[in-house]
Amino acid sequence: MQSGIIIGVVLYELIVILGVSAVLRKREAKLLEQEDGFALGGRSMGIAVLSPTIALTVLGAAHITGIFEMSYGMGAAAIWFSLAHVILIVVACFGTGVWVRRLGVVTVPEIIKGMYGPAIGIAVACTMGGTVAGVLTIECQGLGIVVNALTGWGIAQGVFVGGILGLLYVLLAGMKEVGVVNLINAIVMYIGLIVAVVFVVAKLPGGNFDSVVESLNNDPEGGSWMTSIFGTPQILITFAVGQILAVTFCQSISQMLMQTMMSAKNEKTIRRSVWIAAPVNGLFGVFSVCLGLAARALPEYAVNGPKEAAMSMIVDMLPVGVSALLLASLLAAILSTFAMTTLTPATIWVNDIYKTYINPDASEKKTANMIRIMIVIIGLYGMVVSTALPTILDAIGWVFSWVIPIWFMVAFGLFWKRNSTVAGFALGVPWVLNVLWSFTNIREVIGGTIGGLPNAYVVLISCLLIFIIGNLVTKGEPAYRKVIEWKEVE
Amino acid sequence: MFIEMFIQTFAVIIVCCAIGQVVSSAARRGKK
Repeated sequence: MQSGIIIGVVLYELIVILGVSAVLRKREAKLLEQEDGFALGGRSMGIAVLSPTIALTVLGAAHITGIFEMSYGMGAAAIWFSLAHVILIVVACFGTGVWVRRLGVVTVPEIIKGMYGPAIGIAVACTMGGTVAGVLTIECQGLGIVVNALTGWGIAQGVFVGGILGLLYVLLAGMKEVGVVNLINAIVMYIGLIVAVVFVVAKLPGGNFDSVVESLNNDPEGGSWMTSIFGTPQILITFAVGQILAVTFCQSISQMLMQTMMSAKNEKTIRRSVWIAAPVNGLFGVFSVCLGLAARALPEYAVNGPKEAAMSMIVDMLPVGVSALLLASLLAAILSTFAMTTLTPATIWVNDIYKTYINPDASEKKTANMIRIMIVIIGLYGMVVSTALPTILDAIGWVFSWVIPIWFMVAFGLFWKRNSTVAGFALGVPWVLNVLWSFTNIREVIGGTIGGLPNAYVVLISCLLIFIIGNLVTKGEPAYRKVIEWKEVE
Repeated sequence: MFIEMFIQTFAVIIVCCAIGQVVSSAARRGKK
């Protein structure tokens, strides 16, 4: 067991988190007293803090363990998981993120409530809070796996230590602290990745990736397609397009990323951030894919199977110091998402339920403290559930699909028309289909191409059909932007 | 392999951002 590695990395994280918190408290003493100071950092984030926060909020455990696993089977085309997140960031920075910042809301369910009424608003609040909490359990699981692989600590211990750091990440000063720690961690993350890849390449035959390419090209189950990011036409259609649809339409309206956008200083900052956030997020996948392919090409590691090949190779090849740096790097990616996945359900609960139905007159201080309490409860929930459900990564398609109808609800409501009955059906029917698709044998009964479609396609097609036909045949309220002040925030 | 994949991925990222920038600018000009 390499306890020195975990102690060193924990100390590093504590110094950064507590240091940033102390500086923020000194420089921005009144931040937490401002309106939305805790949840949205007083809506003052500039490009330097906003862009790494956008990049790291949607860069988590799946970009590490998930891509390692995917690249084992489908080769370099696994990079499309990362590129789907790039497309999501582009859509969010030029579309949904700008819309939510302009609307001046604190949560996405608040927009839905304004557009379609409180009943649909509360349904979306509960669902969105639940789906983000689902992502949190995946991040917790990733924490445990990474700590376990690089230090030999147990998965539950890794989840607990990482979870405490993740809670500190956000508890002390809220969104502003998350942003500044993200800026530091984004730099550490790339230094760790580059150093780790250099060390791995140095130990490969010939000291470069040529042997990996040759081995994959000659592999009876592989071929030259394994080293091309375009893979095969089938991989592009089923995997790449499926990922783009699910990730874009779920995450670009999810409270997780939208809370970051709401914290921006203005709309121009959001649009400019894309040029930093997209490369910082998207290029991470290149490192993960190359490490995954190297492990796939070396028989002594490939024999461990898709889930463990890359990690076993990394542990074997890296010296202790580099392992510590890589652990700090991977924790940077996971903890940033952990912080946002605890902060956002807590914000939804406090803003859309506590302040709306329980204590509408709550002061800013009381609101911030209530968010802190919820962060701890949600964080503990994530840690416990992740250790009890080791195969939860399988549920990610199901979890993401719950949010897809909300994207169209916001877009059609803002720019076309609003009818609460149509919106209710466009939420309810896809949600029922999503549950049936995952928990019954309906897919086998239908069979063929349709039966083989992943949840995201079924939810997307059904909600689009209901919205378009429903809006065409019914009367409704005018587009939301026509009844509110719809002006650029400068 | 690494350099080639890095450049390809970077190119796709820049193209995606540029498309977003062009569409967004056109939409904002259209409104004015």
